[in-house]
Amino acid sequence: MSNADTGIGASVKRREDLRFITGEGTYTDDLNQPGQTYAAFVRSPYARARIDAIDVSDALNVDGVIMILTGADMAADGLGDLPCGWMVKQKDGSDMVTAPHPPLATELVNYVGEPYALVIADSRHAARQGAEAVMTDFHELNPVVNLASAAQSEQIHAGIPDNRAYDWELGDKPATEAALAGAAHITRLDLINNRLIPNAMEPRAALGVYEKGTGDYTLYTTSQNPHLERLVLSAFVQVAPEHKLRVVAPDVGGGFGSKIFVYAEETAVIWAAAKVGRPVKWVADRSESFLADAHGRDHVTHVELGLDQSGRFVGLKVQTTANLGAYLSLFGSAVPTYLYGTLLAGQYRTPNIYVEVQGVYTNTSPVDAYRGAGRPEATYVLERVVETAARELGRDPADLRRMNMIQPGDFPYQTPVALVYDIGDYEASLDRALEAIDYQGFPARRIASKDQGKRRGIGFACYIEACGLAPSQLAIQLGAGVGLYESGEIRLNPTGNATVFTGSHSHGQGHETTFAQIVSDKLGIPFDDVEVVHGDTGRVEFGLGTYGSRSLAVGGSALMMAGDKIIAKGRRIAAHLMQASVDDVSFEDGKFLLAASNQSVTIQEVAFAAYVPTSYPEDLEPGLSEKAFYDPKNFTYPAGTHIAEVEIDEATGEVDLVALVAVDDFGEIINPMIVEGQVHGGLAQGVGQALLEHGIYDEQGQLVTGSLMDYCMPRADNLPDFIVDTTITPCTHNPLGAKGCGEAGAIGSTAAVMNAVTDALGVKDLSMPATSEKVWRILKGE
Amino acid sequence: MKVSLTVNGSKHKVDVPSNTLLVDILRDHLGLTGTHVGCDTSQCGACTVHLNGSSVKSCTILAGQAEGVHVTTIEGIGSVTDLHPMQAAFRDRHALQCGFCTPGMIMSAIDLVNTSKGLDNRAVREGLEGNICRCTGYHNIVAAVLQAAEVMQGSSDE
Amino acid sequence: MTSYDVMPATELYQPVNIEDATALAARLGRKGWLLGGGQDTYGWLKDRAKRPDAFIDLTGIDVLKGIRSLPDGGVEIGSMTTITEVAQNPLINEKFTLLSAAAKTVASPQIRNMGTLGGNLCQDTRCWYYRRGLNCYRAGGNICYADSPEGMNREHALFGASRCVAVTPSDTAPALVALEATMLITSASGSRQVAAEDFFVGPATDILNMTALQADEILVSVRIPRKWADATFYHEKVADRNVWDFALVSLCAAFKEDAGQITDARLVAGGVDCVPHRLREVEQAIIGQPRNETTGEAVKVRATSAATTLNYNQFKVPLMQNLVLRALRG
Repeated sequence: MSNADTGIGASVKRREDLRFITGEGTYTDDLNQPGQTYAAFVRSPYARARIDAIDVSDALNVDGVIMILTGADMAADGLGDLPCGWMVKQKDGSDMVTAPHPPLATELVNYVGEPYALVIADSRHAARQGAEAVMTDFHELNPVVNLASAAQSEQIHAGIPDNRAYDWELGDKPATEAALAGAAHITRLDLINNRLIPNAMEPRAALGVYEKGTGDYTLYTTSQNPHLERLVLSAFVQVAPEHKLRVVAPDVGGGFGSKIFVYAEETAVIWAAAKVGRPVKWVADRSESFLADAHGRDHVTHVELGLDQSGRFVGLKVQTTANLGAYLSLFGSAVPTYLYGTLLAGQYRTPNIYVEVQGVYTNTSPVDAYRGAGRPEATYVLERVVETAARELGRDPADLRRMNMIQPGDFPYQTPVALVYDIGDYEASLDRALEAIDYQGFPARRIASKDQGKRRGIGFACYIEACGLAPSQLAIQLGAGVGLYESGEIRLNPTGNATVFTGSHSHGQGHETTFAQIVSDKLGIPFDDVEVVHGDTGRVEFGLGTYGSRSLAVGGSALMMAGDKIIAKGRRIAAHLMQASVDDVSFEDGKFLLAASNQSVTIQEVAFAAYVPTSYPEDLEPGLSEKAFYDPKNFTYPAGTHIAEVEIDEATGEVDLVALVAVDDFGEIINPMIVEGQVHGGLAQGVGQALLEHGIYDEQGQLVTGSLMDYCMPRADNLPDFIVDTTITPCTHNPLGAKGCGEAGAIGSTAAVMNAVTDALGVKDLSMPATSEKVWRILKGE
Repeated sequence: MKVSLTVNGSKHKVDVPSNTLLVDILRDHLGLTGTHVGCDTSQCGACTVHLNGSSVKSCTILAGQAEGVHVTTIEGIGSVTDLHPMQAAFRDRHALQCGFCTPGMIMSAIDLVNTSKGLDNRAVREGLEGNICRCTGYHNIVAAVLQAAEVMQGSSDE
Repeated sequence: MTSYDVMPATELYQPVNIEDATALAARLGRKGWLLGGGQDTYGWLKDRAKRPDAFIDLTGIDVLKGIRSLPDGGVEIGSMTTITEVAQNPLINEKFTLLSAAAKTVASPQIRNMGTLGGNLCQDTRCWYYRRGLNCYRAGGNICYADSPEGMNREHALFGASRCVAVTPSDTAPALVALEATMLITSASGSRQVAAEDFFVGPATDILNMTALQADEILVSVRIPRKWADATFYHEKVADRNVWDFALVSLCAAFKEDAGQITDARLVAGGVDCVPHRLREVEQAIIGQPRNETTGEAVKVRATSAATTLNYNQFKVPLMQNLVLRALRG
């Protein structure tokens, strides 16, 4: 029954498409509850201020306003703060320093847009009118906005001098400094990784329901990880006990990390539902999302790469200041440390590496994971300095990398920055990519462009990333507040079809299709007979959700484990049905086969027998339903080569991305069509960072790029068709051999594009995004 | 104010506050939630519908200006069992991931194909400048639109 | 801090004929807001930057729509004609492609399908500070935020500044000035015609308004005379992004040639002045010259001889010169 058209490796068309292309999707704003009220948040217009008084009297008189709640009301109800879920240890062994982060601010506001009150009304319009009518006495304070000087500026939070949450390090400092001191050549770069705003197309939303009769809370919200949401809301914020709280993430329109975190808004909404006694609904508008969603990236880095005479890397030293924003968001501490510093070996055998990161508070929106979460930042630092070294030494950038690459025979490879890579073949992707971009033909293309008044450049990024988060014990040792396993459950129904429950969540990744492929392939059940359920804590076992490119590697593996358990039990039932010993029964393609005979029973017959146990093993429970929690043994390590080619108009500075090649090794591929789609999306975001996007604050801490008018999102005509290919070295340590592919596109492309732009211009560096005006000024020699 | 309009072939009369936008009429009053709101500055295109046959942003049309118009939404161009060629092409070419921008993208694409001849990759990309997608990188969307164009415009020997 | 996507309640009048429209305009004056396709309007209201008492929706007045030939061989365009219709109209595409080229660069397809020519011509400036509702000179206050040492003024004017340095955002206005169009205006007390070049006003004339329309007046139509029909045209719009954005600098040019020499020319720049900016010096300098790169190189610097730069918009100077060069190079 396992079908080459629908099993693992097939480009099966997506099942979820049918509702999306016909407008029958159910996103959070599409849900409505009888009697529902609408919420609008009152947000700080200042980057830093003290709230002296809040006068809600006018607002309460606005027609339709029902109730107004403030941070003080929340505190009075004993609600806890929004936690940071990853404790980072500092150089001296002490814990990082966090500032309290109440969901609704009470005395102090620390970023423009920070919410401090909630207006509940019987219409969206009235809620906003009400919010406008709230009168607040602010005492403005001096905001700290500039990242580089934040440590020397005013202290934002009590007890945190230097505005520093942590001073963290990884690697061997003395050995690295010695290596650099003895290096034949050192390449140095100062790099900025620009702040980005995720802007998933669906704004965040929450609908909170409280049932008085039962004390049950239900929160419908745009979350990438409903169980994690529930855990934090119950254990930390203590809005409701975990067993009385159900969190449902229905169709979610994109996340890219921004919908991982537990935010003030859904916290306030579910809390308010009980206070108002009616359902409460909130939907962000886009300008609100710009302020209220966690932002990404925002690092300032100094890097030094030491090479010996032959061009081998001998040492790499990195110093980074990471902007945390006003408060430490849920994973905000880990992104610039454990998801960043550990990737600085890249694909290379650099023997000595040392990285130190200062996580710094500023009066800006909190910063946390955004597609790639630390790995794009690491790749940017490493691949820009490597490319620059090649230029300084007059070496071909591909050859310089090649000679430093970890070789297939070196695996498992222990890097100097904690990680052990299991397997890879980096030259294979490099060679494939060089061919795809026609590297040989580049010099001629460059000359042809010059004749047209255009400058052509080519840039590389040979990246690696660590994803498939994560081995739980290791993660917890490194400071994670939760394990990072995943749950998977397969229930065979009496009629022989299957319902699959996964703790992963799909908000664009296509799990309803790919996970059905996996189970269909594993159990030999027709693809259309496998139904995948996700996103509801009321139906699905505890899981950790989708981010960090973990769904296939961890969630898919959990289903493989559950499938193994189904097969194991099925063999016992089948043996009984065939009156044979279980040792003589094997399973293949949906059938249990008796050795040395032509007897077999189908899995459907076994399922029926399990629920209607006419003839059944005495010592076996009825039913055929199994669950597994898969805890990965290691991270997975997708890797590859991205190459960008650009053409710059000398008259206008316009950068035209003429080609972008991505050759990635994701291990075994479940659905090639979906994998390509994930890469395309990541590439677009990587290009967006390099050429278009920038979240800019002015000196007063106002977000200047505060709407889609001012923040440049990539559109169809900003991008070319992509050239995408894969090489495969299967992951050695999970049942699927899969590494994960969700973020890789965004990890290599930014560095590749900026390497191409700097190549075209013949400059060492320019800041991102490489807008036409910036480029033009460089061409004019400013 | 009272507004009469035809949506997906059916006549409707709604009584709404004067500041109601067309997208609110569709979503809140007529329960057609396939049309989505993705921004507040008329940029993203997720709210695109057809008004008297042309693609428009329903978030930027006041109820009062919708009197007597014919609106077609994503729900009106095809169904799961009877997909419009553009819908079928989007599925075939994996031109959607999270699906949020998709209804607006499909409506814009249909109008683009209906009003253009000789579409190529460049022209499709320019024609979709009013719609933002964060998931797909547009590569498959362009392929889907070109594929649907061949079906919708027919081959020359038909 | 307020949210931005809900429209405040505003009275809506929907006259079906011009007389009713002008009567309303006379009664409401500046408290009334002339509404075309609404594609720019709703942004102002959602942002709470403008709060008119009422809309006067002109899109229901049929005589304001449509494109027709004029007896002299020119073309008349009703003010409520959509931008898409202007871009695709056979008459315009036959004789006045400068206008259709400019129209095609307005915003995005959906916006062009609803937005009107009148709306595009009469829209208010997009200076970031003004749009935000700050009380600057243009808003009736006493300060200009853009023209200050730290002001973000990279998008602002090189010419015509007078307390205000905002620029005209219209893509079609420079084309109509180049084509020597005339605006037909009416009110309850009569009608008048204004040359396109005089229709757009700078802050020295009237700092509160972008056009010559009085409080009780309505733009009825735009008449393009036959004069520049079939001339050689050049259009280019430079924006931060390929599409979508309002122009940093745009250039609309029309040339008449005879025996390899330019006999008459109009070059009008957008995005560099509060009004479409005629490059008179360049126009005069190229008469009698061939339309080629050499001429372009020789005259381009005249495009910006009177430019006064602000802290962040100096790049517009060479950009303008390059556009002039490209217009002459063809």
